[in-house]
Amino acid sequence: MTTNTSIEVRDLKKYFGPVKAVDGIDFKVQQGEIFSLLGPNGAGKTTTISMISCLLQPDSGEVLVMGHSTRSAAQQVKAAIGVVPQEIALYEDLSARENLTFWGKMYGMRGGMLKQRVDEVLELIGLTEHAARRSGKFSGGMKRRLNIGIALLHHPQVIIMDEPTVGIDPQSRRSILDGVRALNREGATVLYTTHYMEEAEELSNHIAIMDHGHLIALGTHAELIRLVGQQTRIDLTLNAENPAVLPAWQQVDGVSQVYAEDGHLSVLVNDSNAVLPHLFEAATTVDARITGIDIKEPNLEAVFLHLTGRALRDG
Amino acid sequence: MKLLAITLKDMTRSFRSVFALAFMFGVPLLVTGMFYLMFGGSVGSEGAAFTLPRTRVVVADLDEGSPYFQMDGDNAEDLQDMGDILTHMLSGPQLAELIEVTFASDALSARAAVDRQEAGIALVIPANFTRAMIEPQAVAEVELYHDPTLTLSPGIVRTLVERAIDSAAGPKLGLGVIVKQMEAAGLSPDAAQQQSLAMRLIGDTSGAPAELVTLRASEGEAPTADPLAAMLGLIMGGMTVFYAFYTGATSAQTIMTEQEHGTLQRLFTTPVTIPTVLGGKYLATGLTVLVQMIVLLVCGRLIFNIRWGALPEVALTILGTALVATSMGIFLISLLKTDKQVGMVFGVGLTITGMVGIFSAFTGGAPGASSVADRFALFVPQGWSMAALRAGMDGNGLVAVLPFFLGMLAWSVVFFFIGVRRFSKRFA
Repeated sequence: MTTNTSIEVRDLKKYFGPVKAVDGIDFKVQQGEIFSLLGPNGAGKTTTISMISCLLQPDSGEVLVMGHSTRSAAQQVKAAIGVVPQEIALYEDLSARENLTFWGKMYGMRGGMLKQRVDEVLELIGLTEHAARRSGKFSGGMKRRLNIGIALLHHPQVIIMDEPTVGIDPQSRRSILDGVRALNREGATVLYTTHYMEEAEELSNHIAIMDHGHLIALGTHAELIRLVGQQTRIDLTLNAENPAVLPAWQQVDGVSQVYAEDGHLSVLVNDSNAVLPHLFEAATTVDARITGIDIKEPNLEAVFLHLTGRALRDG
Repeated sequence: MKLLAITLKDMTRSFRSVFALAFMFGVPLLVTGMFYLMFGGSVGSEGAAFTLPRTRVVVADLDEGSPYFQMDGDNAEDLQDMGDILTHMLSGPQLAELIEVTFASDALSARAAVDRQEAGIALVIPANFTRAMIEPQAVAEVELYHDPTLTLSPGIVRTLVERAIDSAAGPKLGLGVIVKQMEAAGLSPDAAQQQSLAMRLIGDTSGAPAELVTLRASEGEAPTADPLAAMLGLIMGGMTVFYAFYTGATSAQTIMTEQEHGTLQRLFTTPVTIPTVLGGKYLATGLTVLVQMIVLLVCGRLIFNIRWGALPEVALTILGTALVATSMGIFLISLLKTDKQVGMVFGVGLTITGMVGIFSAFTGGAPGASSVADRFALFVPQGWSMAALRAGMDGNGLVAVLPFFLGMLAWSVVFFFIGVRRFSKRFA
């Protein structure tokens, strides 16, 4: 492990009976970066996070956090990390301040230092005015912020966030993403899991894409996009369902892939300007009429599709 | 430090739950209060106690005695037969607050007094009552005729009469054995000799006949000074024990609920060890039960005038109950996989064992049923707790409470190690 590596995962495996939740993955997270694990539900992201957080013992392989092994030095690993679980894990009958104070004590903080840090975190997550309110009475967004605040109390070197924006409103989501960037600017290393490719694209220095327990791609956003050769996705809407249109489009020069998903039809092309007129012509030959077009530049969705043959949101 | 923080957090959460508070304090006090109201008890100034209305008992003593019946002692002139002894006992000062005895010349007029509601109970002592006590083959039938609207007082009088008869029946059984042994040795005592022997046995075993029946109460109080408070003591003691075990399991249940809400997993991502988490929760549960019992027993004393016994005995009982209720809670919850299974454990594990354990609280006045219930109750930990509480209430001293405390300790150790072992394996 090099001196500027925060997390190193080597040939990590975890099986639950016949299910290979994590099946031999390797990656490194460098100090001070935001590293995203992207994948559909059931890809193995949370199992990976759980092994890095010392919640699960790997069947084989090794995890080093700040140079400490999760097997032999779990207490040092736990002291170095702050974990934001996917599900909100708060004591709803305690106030925001009581929650933070309790969790601070679990990290070994006490006295004036703890009180000062609780005040700082309350300020950071925007809950100072609600510090005395029981967290059970908070809105979903406020609970999410408190859920994150708990993980920041002890100034962890590594912050592990497991899908922290699931099920919240866009405003709270924006606030959380801004917060993650702010933490990263202050020097924290962030390991972030998500199944929203936009979040991974927006936040990450490096992205690892997981599927069925395997790491299928790893790199920067630009490196991953290059995997699909800069292909553009065109989503098309027809006036009526017409199964004949897919094979017709597949015959068009410049179209590399055609697929239907959730009632939408999509084609992957190298040059949208050149191909688009021919798509209209092909539709006409099978009596289909195009009523809507949405052109999307290459993104991680396309990468996932390219690598697995499935859309990321299919799971 | 971390262990105490977990303890404090769990206790804070417990005492903020209206549901938990209702079960810990509300229900036991409510049940006792209902009994208090049911029997029309009232509390006045300090020292005032519950009172039962006095029951009028009209006695038709038809006992013709026996030429062989002779009594020694202070009251020998007044006590000519066993009927006299029984009426003397019922009209004695110890029962004066419960029973008012009047006499009728025959069975018919005694029953008529009840029918006219001039008395609540008629006690008819048959003509051969004394002979039945001292002749091996003789049998007599004592009749209790009572107002059907009365519920408690006929039971009390019946118990008193049964105890008096039971005390005299011992010597009669002894007489039978002696006669058989004499016949086996070739001796044949005649009826006069047998009755003379019986009288000697009665004299030897009972001493003064007026003490055929004695009642005890704790702390040297007059035995029947506050009988309803004593009954309420059993009921509230039973409720306290029953709900202490509920609190133990409910508090231990936080392990399950924290697991389902994700806070337990989050705890395990912090630098805190599994024994610290379990230790903190065990301490919180134990202290919660401790607080619950202390509050309930103090309330029982202040509101219902219940005398729980001397402080060391009570303290030992509370400590033992807190330990065993907590350990049993940890054990029961360790058997569960999900919160949904809690109903099963609470229904079967706690309600049934709890009812068995405190059954004696409801049979306190019935000698036969009570002794069976006492023995049966010791098959469950609640029974040991109840027995310790009763030993303290009876004023039997620390020595009487200690075996039950040790019994609770033994239950605790077994439950604790099984429960902690199961949890440690689960979270390892």
